[in-house]
Amino acid sequence: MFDGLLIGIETAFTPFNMLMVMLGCCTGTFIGMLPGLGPATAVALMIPMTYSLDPAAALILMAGVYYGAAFGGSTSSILINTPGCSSSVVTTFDGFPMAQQGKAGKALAIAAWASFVGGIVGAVGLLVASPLLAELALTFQSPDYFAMMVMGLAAVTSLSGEGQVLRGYAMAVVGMMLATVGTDGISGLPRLTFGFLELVDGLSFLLIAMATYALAEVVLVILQDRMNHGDQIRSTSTRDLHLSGQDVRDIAAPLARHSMIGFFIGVLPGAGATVASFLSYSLEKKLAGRSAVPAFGEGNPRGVAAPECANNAASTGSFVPLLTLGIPGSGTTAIMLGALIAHGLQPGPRLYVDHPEVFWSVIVSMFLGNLMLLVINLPMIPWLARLLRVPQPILMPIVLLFCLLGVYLVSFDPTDVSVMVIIALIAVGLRILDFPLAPLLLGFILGGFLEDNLQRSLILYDGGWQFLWERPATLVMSIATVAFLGWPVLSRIHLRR
Amino acid sequence: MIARLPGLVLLAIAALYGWQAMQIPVFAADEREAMTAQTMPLVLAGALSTIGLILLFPGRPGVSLASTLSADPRRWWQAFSLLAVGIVFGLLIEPLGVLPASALALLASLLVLGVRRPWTLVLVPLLVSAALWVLLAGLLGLYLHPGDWWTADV
Repeated sequence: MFDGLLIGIETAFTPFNMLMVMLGCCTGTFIGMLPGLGPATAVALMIPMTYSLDPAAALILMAGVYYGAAFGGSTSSILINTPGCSSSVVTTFDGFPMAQQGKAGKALAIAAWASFVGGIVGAVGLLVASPLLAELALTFQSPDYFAMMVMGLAAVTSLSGEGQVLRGYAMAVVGMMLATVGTDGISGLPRLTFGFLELVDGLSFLLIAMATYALAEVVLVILQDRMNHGDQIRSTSTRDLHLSGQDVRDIAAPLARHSMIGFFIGVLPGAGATVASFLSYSLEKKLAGRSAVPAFGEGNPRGVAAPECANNAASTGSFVPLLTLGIPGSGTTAIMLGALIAHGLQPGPRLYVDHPEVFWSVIVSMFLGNLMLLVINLPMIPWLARLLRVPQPILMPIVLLFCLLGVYLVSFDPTDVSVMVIIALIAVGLRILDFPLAPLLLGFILGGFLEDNLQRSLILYDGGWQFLWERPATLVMSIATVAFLGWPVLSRIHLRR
Repeated sequence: MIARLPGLVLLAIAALYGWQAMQIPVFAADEREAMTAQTMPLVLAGALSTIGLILLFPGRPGVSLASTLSADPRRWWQAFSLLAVGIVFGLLIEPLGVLPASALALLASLLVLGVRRPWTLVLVPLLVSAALWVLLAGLLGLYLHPGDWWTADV
């Protein structure tokens, strides 16, 4: 582990990679602050830029954008009561009331320190847990991988959100359907290409990610009339951003609690930062009781600290299944997984062995990135917040251009731009019909590997399915899959009673 | 009917995809194998039709994204016009070149979203295009197509 850590330090602390961390944090913070554009959009927008970078720098940049966007999301939650991303929704409950009471600076500082503590604890957890899990995963065979991918899909989808589970499964299946387009791994013949030569290599991940997470979001910002927020921003000064000793004492215990909770939730595929933030907020509210002053929902600092700490720890924790098993825990990490595959890397246990510089430098960069967010971004928040005053009718065309240009610059094929627009239109339609898109992306990424590993497993076991229960690891994951599939049904029955 | 629309959409996708899956050629030697090129697509078509059938009988309606959409027809016009700008951008990027096409796309998008200040309409496309050139060509070393119309032999 120490050798790996040294490789990580050596790689992450090169001037260029440090610049990537800083660029990622700042860009992520800014995009995350824009209402409606969360970490997934921010990471999707950065993918085209990463194609000219080496894989380590690319992942460092995307990781910086991810936690930078989570940090930025809390800023718009506090200042304009509009969460930049779903994991910052809870922050509005107490953050915005604090801003209304003239304590916007204090709320921002609490959110920043909480994010920092959550991020650092998450990075320590990642540092310790990842090598152990990667070593274990190195013993996996095709049946285990098959079971693990099915489990990942079931986990992510079963946590799609209230009333969306079945639709989540549908989208995961549609994603897998899209993954079957192209050359078939079994016969080597083109499959489902409708006679188009362009589809022989399969659909482009970037195209689908940019269309569903970036371009579709721009359209939805307009359709949901989320265009005018600039005039709501409250003025803050850098002097406001200091915390008193009493403030620190108030939030110290919640930070210790929720950084651990957030990390463990983040490690679970599918749970992610949003679940972590909601769970931490409700737990902290219960612990504080009715005697809390001010009450939760009326500007209690603990109501800002708990979810912010948990969501950052969970964001970092979600890198554990991504880096060690190649299973993304959320839509954002699914985009990163796709980007890494496009770079010729296969995240999973082999990454730990074959590309230790990528594996370790990302982990090391998280310490650096979280420190940068606190030291550089926090004092810049009053200025960054002014960017929110730039009217959305000016910002949205720029985001649109980044989407269009991003797709073109990767393939240099103008047809891809039109295809992306069509996919975005379909994505908007699916969103309006309440279909979640994260499972689609996950199904698309995992579909091909799932089919390959199923085929290998069936060959290994002479066409029999006994591999599902004969291998202990596969059996455990198969049981977990059944649990994830059954969970929504059981919880519904429980609710009816 | 609208409540059943998601289920119907899924069934239509499953039927179309399933029909296409049945057209996938399978070698005679592979026909007795446990898994052929058709297996996964057919399983997926079956799974999607099952989900589609279940969704034909919707339960209690939850909070829908559709309820948050603007009723203002102008917003819908703006959204679709922006997508049209995207298509036109794709058509013009190689004849015009990356930077002029980008500047034009920005100008058109600003106009679509209701920006009318002359300085904004001039400065934003120019500054963003210049920044893109510095970032993409200068810093990242990416090739930016100069435009067939300007570079074609006379």
